Amino acid sequence: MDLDKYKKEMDDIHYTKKGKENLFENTKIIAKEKQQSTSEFKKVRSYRKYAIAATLIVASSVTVLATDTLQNIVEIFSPILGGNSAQTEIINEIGRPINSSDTENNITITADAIIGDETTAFIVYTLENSDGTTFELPTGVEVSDLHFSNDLIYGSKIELAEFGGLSQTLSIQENPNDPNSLQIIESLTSSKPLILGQNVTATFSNLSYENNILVNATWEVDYNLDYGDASKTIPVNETFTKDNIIYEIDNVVVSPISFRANYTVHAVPDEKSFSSTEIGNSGEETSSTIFTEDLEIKSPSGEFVDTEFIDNINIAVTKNNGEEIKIKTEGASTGPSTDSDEYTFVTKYLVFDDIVPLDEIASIVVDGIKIDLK
Amino acid sequence: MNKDQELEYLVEKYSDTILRLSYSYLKNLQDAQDITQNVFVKLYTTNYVFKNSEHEKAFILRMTINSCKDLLKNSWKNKICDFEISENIVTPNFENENSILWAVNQLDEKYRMIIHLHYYEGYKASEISKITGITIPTVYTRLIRGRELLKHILEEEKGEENYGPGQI
Repeated sequence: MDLDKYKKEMDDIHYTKKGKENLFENTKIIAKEKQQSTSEFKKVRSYRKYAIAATLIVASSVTVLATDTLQNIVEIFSPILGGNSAQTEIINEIGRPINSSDTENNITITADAIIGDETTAFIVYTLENSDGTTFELPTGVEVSDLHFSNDLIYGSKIELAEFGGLSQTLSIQENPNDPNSLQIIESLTSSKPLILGQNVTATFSNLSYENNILVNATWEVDYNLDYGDASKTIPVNETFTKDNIIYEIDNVVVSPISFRANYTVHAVPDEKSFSSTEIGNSGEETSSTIFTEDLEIKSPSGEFVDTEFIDNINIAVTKNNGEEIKIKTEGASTGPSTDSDEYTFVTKYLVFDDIVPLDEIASIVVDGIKIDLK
Repeated sequence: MNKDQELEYLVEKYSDTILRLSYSYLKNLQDAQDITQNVFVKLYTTNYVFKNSEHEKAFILRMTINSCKDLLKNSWKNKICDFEISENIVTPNFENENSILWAVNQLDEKYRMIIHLHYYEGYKASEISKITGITIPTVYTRLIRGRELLKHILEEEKGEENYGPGQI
């Protein structure tokens, strides 16, 4: 039996030059369509989160400048913010003004401010006419129609310390603080800790609507990835058993922006899927960033365990007032499990829909194990 | 490299690799083309950071395998479409019964995948284990069993040829 022949026959299956060109072009087209539909979807579902993020970040930068302005912003957005002064204080602690801009073709994009934690960051930019006049859209074009032609690349080019997924989204919307300009909100969510202090260039090309270029230019805005990371890591080292599989909660990491639970499953994956990272599920009470990895877990005894099992751990953040934020369980991020024959390292991650002051969090409960934050 | 240049590089380097692996898994060139396209869309829309070229390739192979699994799991795998090889790909007449590819295609998917990764991509069992998540002993078992089955299929086919119509 000549298996070399298999190689030769397989070699005969290949793309033509034209086929590769089509593949290249179609990838860009499909990705753009996907991005646009996802953006629209996210825009609807995540409106509240973005609105809050934008408002909070702008509030942060403005507090440095003028308390009166901050007060106005808080008042204007109190229906969303809830008028919680504790939130304003936190924003002031962890947010940072940037104030770096680039002007091309008479349009200026300015990075206003950034806020974030260990693995998440929001950056707010302003887009305006460089002469200060009102930025106007052609008749019939809505702000929601706008996108950059490179919006698949997204704005900020971030370096990660090690292999990991980085999800980036851009949202262009009306500027709640200035009717003459637009606001761009960028969100970054990484499966690994973001390296603070790194110099970042955010690139935006050709402001467009549908297939029409509105402003033909490429802007490059440099800034430093720096903010007050208020993430708090709480070692847990508690173990529980479910369906004969041992789960060891290693630690939880909580910040006013997000929550992360790291645990080790005493079982190894049989199949592993590295799907693309996605942001999802913010249409309900909580939003959850999902690093989808389709797992089939095998217990030490060799029995296969349902993929869903690893996701079905109940995790909830309980506030002092009794309010419970349940973490959606359909997503998980796994660590270097492929390097282990015995364990799978899992991370559950949630971006809060609102700023949550840490002193308002009473406890975190992971499948019956209560972790007291006090 | 900007994003488009990265895509161009990836398409040039991996399009055939993904196509062949998908074909070995799905036995359908139309689906294999869809998988190839999907993998590139994922690569294009997500910022992946690779340690080195080996890691890059292994990751893309793994992504391909999982995309194939997803396709088989999804209901649209049952879509009805004409088997039409477009201008995009070149294919020999490999579906005749003298072809080793035809024989490999008679095997169960779990053997085809391992045989492809070993005999075509040249990966060792330990590397296949890392790419597929299947344990090393299982990889060896499937390689041995796959070869045995393949041998059986080829012998059987040869036997039928020898005792075809008109022969005693």
